[in-house]
Amino acid sequence: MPYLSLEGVAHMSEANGTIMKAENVVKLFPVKKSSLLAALTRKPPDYVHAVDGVSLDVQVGDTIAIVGESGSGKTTLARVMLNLIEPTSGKVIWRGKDVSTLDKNELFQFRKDVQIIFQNPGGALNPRKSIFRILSEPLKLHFNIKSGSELVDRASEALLAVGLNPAIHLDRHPHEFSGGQRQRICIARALSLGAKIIFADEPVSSLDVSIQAQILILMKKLKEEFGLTYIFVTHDLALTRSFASRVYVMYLGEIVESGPVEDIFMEPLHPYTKLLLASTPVPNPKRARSRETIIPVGEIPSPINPPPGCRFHTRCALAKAICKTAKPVVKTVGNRSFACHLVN
Amino acid sequence: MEMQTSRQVLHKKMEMGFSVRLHKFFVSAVDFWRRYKKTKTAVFGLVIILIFAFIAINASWLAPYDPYLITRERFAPPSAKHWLGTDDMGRDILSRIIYGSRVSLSIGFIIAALSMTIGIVIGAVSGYFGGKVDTLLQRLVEMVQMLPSLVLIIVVLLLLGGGIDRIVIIMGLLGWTGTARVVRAEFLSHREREYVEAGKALGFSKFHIIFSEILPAVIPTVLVIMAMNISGAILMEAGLSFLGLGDLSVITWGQMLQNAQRWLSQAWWISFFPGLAIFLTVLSFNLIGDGINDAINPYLKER
Repeated sequence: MPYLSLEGVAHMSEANGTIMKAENVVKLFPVKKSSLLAALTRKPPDYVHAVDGVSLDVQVGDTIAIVGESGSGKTTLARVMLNLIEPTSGKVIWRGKDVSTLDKNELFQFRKDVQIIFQNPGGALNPRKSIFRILSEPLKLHFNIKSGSELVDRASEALLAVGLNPAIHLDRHPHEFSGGQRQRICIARALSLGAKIIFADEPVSSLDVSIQAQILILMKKLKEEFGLTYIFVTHDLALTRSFASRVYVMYLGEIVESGPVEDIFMEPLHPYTKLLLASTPVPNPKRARSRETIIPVGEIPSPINPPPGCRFHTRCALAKAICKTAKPVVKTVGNRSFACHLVN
Repeated sequence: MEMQTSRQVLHKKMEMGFSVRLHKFFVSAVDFWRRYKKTKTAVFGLVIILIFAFIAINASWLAPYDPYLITRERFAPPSAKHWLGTDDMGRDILSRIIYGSRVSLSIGFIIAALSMTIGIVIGAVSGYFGGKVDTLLQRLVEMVQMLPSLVLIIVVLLLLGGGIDRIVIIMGLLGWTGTARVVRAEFLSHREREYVEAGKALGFSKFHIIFSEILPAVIPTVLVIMAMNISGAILMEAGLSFLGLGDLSVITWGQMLQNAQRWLSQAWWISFFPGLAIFLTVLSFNLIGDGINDAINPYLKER
């Protein structure tokens, strides 16, 4: 019985257009003061500026990639958009509604509609539960299914959709699977709820390269089959290039550049994007030698007290005086945006 | 056709849910036993406790005499007639120890069960929610830990009279702090794991995440503390009875020791055998606790 194609949030009024949106999302984490002196002097607490004023627009059917170094706040942004943590300020809009104001019913709809798959698929499955329990518990919760045979049917269908064999795999435990199979189970769990928006936080970076390709091909197939929208959080530029339709480049909690994937890769505008692209290895040594090399200066600065002005100026080879003082405004040209004083 | 059959097989397989689960439980129990039995002392402890449990359950036909029966054979040393001798009123010590095991063992279990329940709930809530809830509950834990429990129990027993039920309730209400601390620490480490995050994203309630996702992973650790708690409770009850605060209407090992105090120099057997019973039980529960600990953390032992 084809349950999967029937599921999904019923009120799909926007057949195309914006399905999810982040508006000026800010997430600050207070830094714990350990010393008594600091507590006594009542110095205002320091904050980690994990996400600092990010706006992002997800269209139906998009495959968005949020790229950036470790510590750029991309995972925090995903967690805010999934309503797992509350933003300090700003809004996340899902199908026209602010997610912080959803009532209980709408929140259940949101949870069904928006799912996540993790970097470490083994960690995302409770090691003490069988695959049947892992798949059936969310189904019981969201569809209020009492009949065991319907649960078996639904769980089996989801497993079949991701290329696993329910007759063999349903009563096994997560440790009996390979990394790629576990990731398939995670995807099956999201699918079985009828999720239409799937966040993928480094979905393949813990897998072998050959398995990576399998999972990505599967995700591509499922996208077409069920009309999914993906939001990838990744530092893998090769993956981004082959998979994404739109790219957001994050640096220290801010989006420095965004645009369609071909444009970004053919003609990066922001110096940070250039640096990122220049630091990916090129398999052809002749091309590698001829290509412009940019040597990054230092490490990513601490997000506790991010540099003033343009956050990238401490590492930018082109930085001018203005970059140290004034924050660059976001300029939009066509369907691309960037935040840099030096590019027009 | 083939698809249809495999589907039927599958349904049958899942409908046998209970027997499948029973089988899995059995498999994991066998696996646990394989690791547990590597600790020989723990096996010894388990055997002793099983013997005592058997004795307690079958006390009425194992005991050679009525434990309350007063006879003229006062201070009889251990002999073929009275294996462990008789006390100052001519009562058979073996029979009294056999009947005493009922109260002493069940007190240990009931107090441990009561304090574990409180400890698990408070520890789980404290560790999972963190923040202000955690701070508040941890101050509560410290307040309870700070109470001089022996003095408090003595005061309460003197005010309300020493019934066995009161001893159980007070000790249950005071003994949960250690469990709460350990369970909290476990929850603190588990709540950051990805499967908990995944559970939140799936829309599971906090209740489901705490009790169905995380708690099963904490149970083995809890079992270790439980074994220690039981032995602590037995010892505490013996101590209270020894001080004369026990329940005079029931036979407990502590009660027997208290009675034996006066005859320590004349008749060693009156105090020796109840003391030995307490010693063996407490030791065995501690050995069992160590054994469970080694079985669930096999790497710790090999180091």
